[in-house]
Amino acid sequence: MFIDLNNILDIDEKQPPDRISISISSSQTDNGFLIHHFLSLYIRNGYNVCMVSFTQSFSHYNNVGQKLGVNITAARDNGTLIFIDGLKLINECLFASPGDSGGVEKNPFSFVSDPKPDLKNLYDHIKQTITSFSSHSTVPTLLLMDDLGILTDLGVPVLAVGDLMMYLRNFMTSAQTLRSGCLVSVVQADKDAADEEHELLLTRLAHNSDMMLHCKSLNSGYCKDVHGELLVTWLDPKQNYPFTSRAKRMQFKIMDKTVSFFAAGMSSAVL
Amino acid sequence: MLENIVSGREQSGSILIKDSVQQYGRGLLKALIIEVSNRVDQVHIFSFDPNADEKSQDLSGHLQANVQYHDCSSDPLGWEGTPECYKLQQDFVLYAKESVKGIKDKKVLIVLDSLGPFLLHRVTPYTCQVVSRLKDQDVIGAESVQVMALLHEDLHDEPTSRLVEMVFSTVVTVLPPDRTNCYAVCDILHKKQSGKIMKSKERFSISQNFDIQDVEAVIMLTKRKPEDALDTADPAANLTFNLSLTDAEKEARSQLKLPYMHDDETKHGILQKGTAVHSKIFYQPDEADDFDEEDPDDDLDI
Repeated sequence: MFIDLNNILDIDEKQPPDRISISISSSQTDNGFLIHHFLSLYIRNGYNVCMVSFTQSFSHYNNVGQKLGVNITAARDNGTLIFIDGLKLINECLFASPGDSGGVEKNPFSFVSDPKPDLKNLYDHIKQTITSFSSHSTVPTLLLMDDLGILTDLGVPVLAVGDLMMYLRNFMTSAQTLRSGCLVSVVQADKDAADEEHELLLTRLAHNSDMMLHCKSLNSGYCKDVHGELLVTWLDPKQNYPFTSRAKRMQFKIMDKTVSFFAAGMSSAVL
Repeated sequence: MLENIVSGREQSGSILIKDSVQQYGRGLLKALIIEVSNRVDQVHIFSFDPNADEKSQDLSGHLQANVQYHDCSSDPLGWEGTPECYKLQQDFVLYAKESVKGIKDKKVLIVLDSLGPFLLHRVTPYTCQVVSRLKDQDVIGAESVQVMALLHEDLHDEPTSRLVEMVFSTVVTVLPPDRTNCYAVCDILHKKQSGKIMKSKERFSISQNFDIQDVEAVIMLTKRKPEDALDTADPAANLTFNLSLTDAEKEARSQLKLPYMHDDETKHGILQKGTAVHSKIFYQPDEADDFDEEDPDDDLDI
């Protein structure tokens, strides 16, 4: 958890974002630090986390968590963190041996091999996982999806992923059973690669999000002291007024155990 | 133009508001609903977007007419199993007819917020068909029907947007502001009942009570073409030699007989004689030439 980032995002550690949906996108740079920030914010305070990951295995998050001073394995052991290993489950679906169809049917990701995927099973699985937290009605819960672009790359239509996110957002932000829900979804959308599907997915998420975090590399190229730019935009999901949105632009440098943020052009290396 | 449409001076049976993430249009939609509700008996809002008004109750207290919300957003795909919510595979016009009751001889406003789910889950012509049928008062069974819809144009491609625009008599596209002290600019395309099409671009702002204020037309400033202040330079001026011809020289030029031009005499000569004039060839052989007078093709027997 990076204290600077909490200040920038106006997040109070003791009162994490309530009934809010956050979209993280990145272009030509790594958005990992944002994911680890939210993960460590919730785990450090003992809140519930349901993490669905398509990009990294559990040990990766554990290793980074240790550097940040958070024990993710312990959280998993005492039931405040549930990790849905998308990589392993999708792998099982795609490369299942013919005699193993029983296991595949129960797999929530069985839609990846379907020409017309229906993500209802995945939605039900996630919903069930979240309501299975013993304290879901008393303690804030985070649902973190990393990274939705992988689903579209696997051939799932943007429409299906968008519908899943709409249902998940409804569930996390308005379900009466949850004390406080926060949905964080990540999409990697490189401007250079002309990723139309990822851009479309991101637009669809933006229409339903309260906050968008976009990190990108510097236009001028690689720099040793400034690794990229973070653009934070607060959106109004009710969409009432043609808005002059509140936005902040900061530059950052990623170090071994922390990330330092500064206003554009104010890097300590330059001043 | 915006004020005329809002106040009803310009009759418009169907209004489409197009917006995007950069520039939201729902506020304008709500402002229009409030204004039109003064002229109709019932307002039916079908909201497909979970963030739209019903739960936030922004419109309550502003509306004069009887307003009914129809939930189309909580479970459009049937994943939750809520029976009351509209499901996307149902026929929408049938659902609308069943939900909208007691409207015989009444003026009705139908609001579709937004058209996105139809366009994403069904073919585009289906959406156009739904809107066309809803506009028809005989289908719904009311005295008169006005339809308003919201469309997020950044979620759909251009051909889809254009096809949907065709069905509406007024299309208002909300654009980012061109100056900092107003909320938005809108592009209005209005098809009058007489067939005339009017376009205008206006800026406006919306107050907290959803009043449309400060409407003024955006005047596009175009650059005036620079006047021909510079005379085109005459290239033949200020030369040390003469490039022009006197009249006598022009006369002489027209009289000149060119070698290969057929004038009257040569034409006459050809027509008289039938063939071209034979020209004679004088050949003087060298010592090395083997000049043979005989015709080499004599022994051919064709």
